[in-house]
Amino acid sequence: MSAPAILEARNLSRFFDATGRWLSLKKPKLHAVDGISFDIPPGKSLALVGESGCGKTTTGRIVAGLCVPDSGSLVFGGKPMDFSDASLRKSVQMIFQDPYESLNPRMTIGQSLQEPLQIQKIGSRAERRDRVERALEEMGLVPVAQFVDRYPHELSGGQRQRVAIARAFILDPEFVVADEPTSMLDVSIRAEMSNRMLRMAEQRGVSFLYITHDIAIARYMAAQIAIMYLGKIVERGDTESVLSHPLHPYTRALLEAVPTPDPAALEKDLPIQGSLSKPVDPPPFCRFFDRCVSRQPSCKEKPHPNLEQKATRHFVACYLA
Amino acid sequence: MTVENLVLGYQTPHGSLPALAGVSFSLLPGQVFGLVGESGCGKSTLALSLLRLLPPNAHMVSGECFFHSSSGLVNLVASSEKQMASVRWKQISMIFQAAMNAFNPVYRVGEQIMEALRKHFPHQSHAKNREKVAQLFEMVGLEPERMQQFPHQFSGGMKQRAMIAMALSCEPSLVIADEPTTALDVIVQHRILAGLKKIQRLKNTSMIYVSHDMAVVSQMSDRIAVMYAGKIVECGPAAVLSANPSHPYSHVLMGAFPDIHGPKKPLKSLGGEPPDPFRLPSGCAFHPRCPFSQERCAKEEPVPVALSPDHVVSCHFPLERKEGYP
Repeated sequence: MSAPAILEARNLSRFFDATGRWLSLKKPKLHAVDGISFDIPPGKSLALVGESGCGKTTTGRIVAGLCVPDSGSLVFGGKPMDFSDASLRKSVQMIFQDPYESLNPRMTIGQSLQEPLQIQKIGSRAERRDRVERALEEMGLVPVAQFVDRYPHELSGGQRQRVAIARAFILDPEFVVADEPTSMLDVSIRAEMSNRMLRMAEQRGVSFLYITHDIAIARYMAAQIAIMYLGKIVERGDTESVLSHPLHPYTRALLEAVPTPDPAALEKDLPIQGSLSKPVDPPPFCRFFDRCVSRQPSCKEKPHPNLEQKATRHFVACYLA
Repeated sequence: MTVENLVLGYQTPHGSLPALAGVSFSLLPGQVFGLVGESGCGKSTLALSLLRLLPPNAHMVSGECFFHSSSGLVNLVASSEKQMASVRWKQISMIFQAAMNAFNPVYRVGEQIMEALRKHFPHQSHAKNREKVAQLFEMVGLEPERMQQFPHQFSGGMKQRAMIAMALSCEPSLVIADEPTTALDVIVQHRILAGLKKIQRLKNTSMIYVSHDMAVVSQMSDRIAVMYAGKIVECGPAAVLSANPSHPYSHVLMGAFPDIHGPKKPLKSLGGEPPDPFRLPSGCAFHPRCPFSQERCAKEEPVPVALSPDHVVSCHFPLERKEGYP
């Protein structure tokens, strides 16, 4: 924790308008991201884990500058993040979930890859061409000549995602937001892609914000983990510490739900009740109250708990932990 | 149920695309049979072909599929549409992958399940049907009041539960589940799998469970078949396959998922891409991606070898049991 963080997020919030009752004057608000803070040290990665609708993608979009937060601040490399600054755009890149939608179908692979270089006015035409070829080679898209002039529809899903990763890395970013980059891919390719991303990050000292619903892949990809529930971070810390000693009841439930080859695991009841709701005008007490199996009446009388340090680099937002 | 040497192709503008290249297996009553493989390996085609629900461009080349129905042995490949209609849902039902789209949005969910009951048990009273659906709802963990609701009022997990209730409505002896939990979050997935397994045990239903997730399949099944390029490459008891797979492909599939317990180890990955069905490699279809392939693999196609009475593998060089895998 000694090195200054490459990214500091403080109290990020983003609310969306939800559909309310017909003709009612008060618009309900969906608290997609509700006052979350985290730091990412340089060269380290943070995995953001949660179920669908917990606000993890919105958080990623805020950090990548694709969505403006309603409140909160972002500090990148010691300076407040200003997305109108082109050089910042160069150092922050994003990999999207769906490789079928994130590449322009009317551009060849070569064009897609050299476009960011062109926008950032890097190198001559020949140098750019050279750099594109190196990027393709690095991602194992060889022979390169076969790929540069092809269109996305001529590639398989795995190949497309490799192009998307190559594009995210072509400007030598310091920080990459990866939003479920492998969830659309086949199992055997998923492993290869994760390994490639890890290698790229290691070689170039890139930090990831790795967004996923899969706690096992989060462990594989990142040294730090943050568990999100309905717009709030409920537990955060070193991945190994969080996974081996989960303190929040939600983290415990998530961990037990991960499928294992053991049929006996299906016979145990998960330590969670009810089902996921939407954070529309959430109640003032703990967000997890309705689903918590260890809840106490006192939890309902206090506001949503703040993250508190319980062990070295291990924070949890629960009154009972 | 016994399936013998099923060969099936899809007619495409580029010629016939082989989807199943001789698949055989048998399923005992009350057993859960898991089918795993990558997308495009033919696992969904196989599941759909058993109920003859394939698109019109699919054509069966050869093969038989015998099913012990309540009215005797039926060959599902050769039987008439009328016969099939009596088998579908009443004897064999299916849980589809995209439950989100499997319901008609303009009818109440309970009504849609009752429709299946009315069709197959025309003499049963309406009140009795209603009671039956309410029971089914309770069994899958939905409040019976929800019968009156429309599909859009259900969440993804609830729709999947309703789909399971529908599949079980006629008390079939075989349920085919095609990736029923792929689109769901882990907590919902765990609940649905646990519910499905409980009902399967309770009713002693046979089940074919199709998925790409080796962990889920081993959790659910008694026996597992691993498919690659339209063929079953390994088939055996779930416990053996998940701990000591013999085919290199099953081995990679098992190691391709990160684990949350135990030491962190590097993920196994396969180079290359799944094979193009128009240009299948010579010899063993897996040899270009196989870490152990040798000269013989490119020339000869391996035949299934029984390693033990209930464990069959198609590989020239099956992995030794419990030895240091590279």
